[in-house]
Amino acid sequence: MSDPAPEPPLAPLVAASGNYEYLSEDYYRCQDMELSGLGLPRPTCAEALDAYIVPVALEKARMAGLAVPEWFLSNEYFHPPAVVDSINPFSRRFAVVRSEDERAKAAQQLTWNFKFAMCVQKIATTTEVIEIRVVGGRSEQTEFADWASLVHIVFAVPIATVRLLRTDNQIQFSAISILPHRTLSAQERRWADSLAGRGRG
Amino acid sequence: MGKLAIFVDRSTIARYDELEALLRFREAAEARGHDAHFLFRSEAHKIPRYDALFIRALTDPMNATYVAARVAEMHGKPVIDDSHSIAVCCDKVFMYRCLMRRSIPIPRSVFLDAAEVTAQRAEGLFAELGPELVLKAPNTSFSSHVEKVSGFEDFQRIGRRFLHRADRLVVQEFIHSTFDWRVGVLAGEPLYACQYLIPNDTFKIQATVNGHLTMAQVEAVPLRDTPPAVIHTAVAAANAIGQGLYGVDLKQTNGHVIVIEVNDNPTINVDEEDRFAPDVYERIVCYLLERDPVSVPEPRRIDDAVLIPAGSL
Repeated sequence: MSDPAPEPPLAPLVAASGNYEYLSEDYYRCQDMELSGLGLPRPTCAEALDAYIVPVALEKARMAGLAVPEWFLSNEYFHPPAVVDSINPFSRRFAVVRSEDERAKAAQQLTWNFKFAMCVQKIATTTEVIEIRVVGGRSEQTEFADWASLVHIVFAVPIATVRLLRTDNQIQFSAISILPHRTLSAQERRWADSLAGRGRG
Repeated sequence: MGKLAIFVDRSTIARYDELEALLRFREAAEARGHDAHFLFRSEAHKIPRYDALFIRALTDPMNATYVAARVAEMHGKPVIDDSHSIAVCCDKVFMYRCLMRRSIPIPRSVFLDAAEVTAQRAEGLFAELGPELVLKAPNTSFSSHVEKVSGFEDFQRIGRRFLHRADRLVVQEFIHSTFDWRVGVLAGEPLYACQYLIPNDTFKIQATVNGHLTMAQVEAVPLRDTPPAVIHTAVAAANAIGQGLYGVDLKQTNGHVIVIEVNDNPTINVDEEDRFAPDVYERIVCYLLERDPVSVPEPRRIDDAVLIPAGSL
């Protein structure tokens, strides 16, 4: 008697909370699904870390062909203007530092008195920081529809806030952060719900 | 000839025995015709210029070491510790679940969320796992958020404190021993063995007692004198995590070997872990610089998705 044919792999799962922060309940929910053998969640734990850790996201975006600003890690010093994110196990904050007067205080706060690193993204004095809401690769901010789709493809985070930098007519990717499901608009909820049907069958 | 980047931070080079070990890694690389340079976190952008990365700093997915590991991986560079090993070993819930999935013997363990840290749940756990329980925050290092409790009040107080750091915690049966085995494993092969002699005034290998830091004494043991069951179990545990460099902690109790935890980025100090394994430096250099290059998976897109509603999480 021959072995039965292997079961086809089940469809991947998407956690729709919009918050997959490291060691959060929903991160563990993704971990539960990964380890269950029932299919990969979207995002996986690794995808969530890639998205939310700003310098990792910047490098991943750059390698996928998205425009990103020049970035580096620093312990203390950087030249303003810059967008600066903490790389800190206990705090997730960012600051837009436009002048030398703001630099020292921002660096001290974001690094917890220079204990941790920070990610510095170089910007121009005229750079505008924009946040868009992305659900399943779509955004109600239609001006940024292409960016919503691209970021979704690269990072596989179904519900996210995406930070972009606009300088004159050029737009660069800057970061991804949570977008809690409870804050979704009616349209965004419909998009989130539609993620369910897309993969079945 | 390759170029090895050794990623360090201030704490790595603060102690003589760690610094001396770093210098021996560099010497081992140079002896095989390679270059080795130390990189600090503000130099992470230089990682793509190197052929491999060796991280010698406290790892955490939320600090610069994870950035370094992922940058190396995205550029196709071999790296110790790889990002998967960091993500698994720095989260004890993830780590124990990986071990359980491979049926590696561990202390009886339960994972709790905030709603379960109650006196009623504690009562059931004390009845099930014994009169003393060990609580662990998932992201503890050097036993800093590991506590032993024997009453409901301590269970709830410490459990709630640990839940400030994560949304789950580990509860385990307490297993007494006077020492832990530590077996270093690289790519599924044992590297070295030692015993960490647990100080009399604590149950951990490192603890603060009456305001003073007390640490386990390290007794190196030749691999040939290490019980085969210890080595076999350590290798199996490491393989349950990945094919990198791990320090596996084990206890022998009632004729059984139990894995206490698997650590990425294990301590390698001169005259301790390397005492009977002087080739540890060369073996790690060879692993990083003299293997076939690793491949980097392409970014994936979401297709065939099934929704897990937010309310069900």
